[in-house]
Amino acid sequence: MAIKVGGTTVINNTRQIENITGATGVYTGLHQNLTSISTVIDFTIPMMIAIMSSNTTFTESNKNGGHTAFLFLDTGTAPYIPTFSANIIWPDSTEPTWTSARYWQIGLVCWSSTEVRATAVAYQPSVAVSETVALSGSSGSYNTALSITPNGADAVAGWKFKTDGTLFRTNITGTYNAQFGAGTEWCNDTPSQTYYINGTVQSGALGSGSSVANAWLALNVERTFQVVDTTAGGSIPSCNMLFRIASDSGGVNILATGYYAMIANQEAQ
Amino acid sequence: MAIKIDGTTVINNGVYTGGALQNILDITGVYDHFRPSPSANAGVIDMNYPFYYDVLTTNTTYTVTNVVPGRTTILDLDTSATPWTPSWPTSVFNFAPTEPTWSDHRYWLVNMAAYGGTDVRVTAIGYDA
Repeated sequence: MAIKVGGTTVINNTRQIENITGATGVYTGLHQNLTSISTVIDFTIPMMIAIMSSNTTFTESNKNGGHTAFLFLDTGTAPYIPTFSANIIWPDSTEPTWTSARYWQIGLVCWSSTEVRATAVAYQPSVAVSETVALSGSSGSYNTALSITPNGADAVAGWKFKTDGTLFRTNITGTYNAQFGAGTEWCNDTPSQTYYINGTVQSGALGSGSSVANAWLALNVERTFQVVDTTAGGSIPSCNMLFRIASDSGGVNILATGYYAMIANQEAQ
Repeated sequence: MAIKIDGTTVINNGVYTGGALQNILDITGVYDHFRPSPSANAGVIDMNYPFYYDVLTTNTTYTVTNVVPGRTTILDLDTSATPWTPSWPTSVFNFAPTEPTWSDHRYWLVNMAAYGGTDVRVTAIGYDA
């Protein structure tokens, strides 16, 4: 049941405080929600994020003196150009050069119901136009993941392509905690779009827990390719693979090619 | 007695505070004298909390927890007269434009905004007094 004061609801049935005319006291774990927007900076929303996919003209709504808001702005890898209205006033009357960085954190304060004073801080200027997909190795020199475990413990060796653009391989004990090609492979930054990977077996065979081979798989899902030795002694599972990454689901536009091997050995004793 | 909405406490029995809001899903309206409660926890930035102050008594490596997109935390940092040097989780903290030279100033206002779960955008402004 809602809580009312003088007949006016102050906490509604969905636990939202409303119609508050003032508040005193202190707070600790009270946070603004992060809300995605496309073109409208709404000053009833305290924290917004806009991920641009084209040049975008932003407008404002619900301006009132004293209202403040933050906008996380990702101009993409293009980068795309944001355009703000003349109501937004920048320090020294100089709007930032948006192409100088990809990511921006913009503080906005309503000076009145029309004017907004804004500041913008740039982040990661080096990635403004430099998202790069890369793999390594060659058919004559494979990158290798090797795992050796004692008798009784399954040996797992493989490669894991993560959604954040990083590539991990198993360490000697079979744990995926060894980043490979940090800052380069498979993407030098958190990917701004969905890329696709295709792993082709050159020799050997993949083991359990592997993603499908010979198919274009979206890398917005973590993809693992591995071999597993579940039997002590005997044959040693291995697999040599060619990986290709493309910008499209059909593999027409291939951006990177690399060769990766995996060998798992559960020792006899 | 706590105040509940459909069995969920929204104002608790805060013995010392006279009752604290909790489990609130949204707030609309206006406020005046409503401010963050300062917290101190040497070397730890918990983004559950909005405002920290810290006076360094040694070189200090900070950790950061509860990084949730949209959360913001301010750290009022006194590196002392020495000054001591703070260091940060570089895989998470992303300074703009670069991490400052902490010995340039004694006092720092460090603003942190969580962009992603492992990405905190940080600005730091130095003061001498």
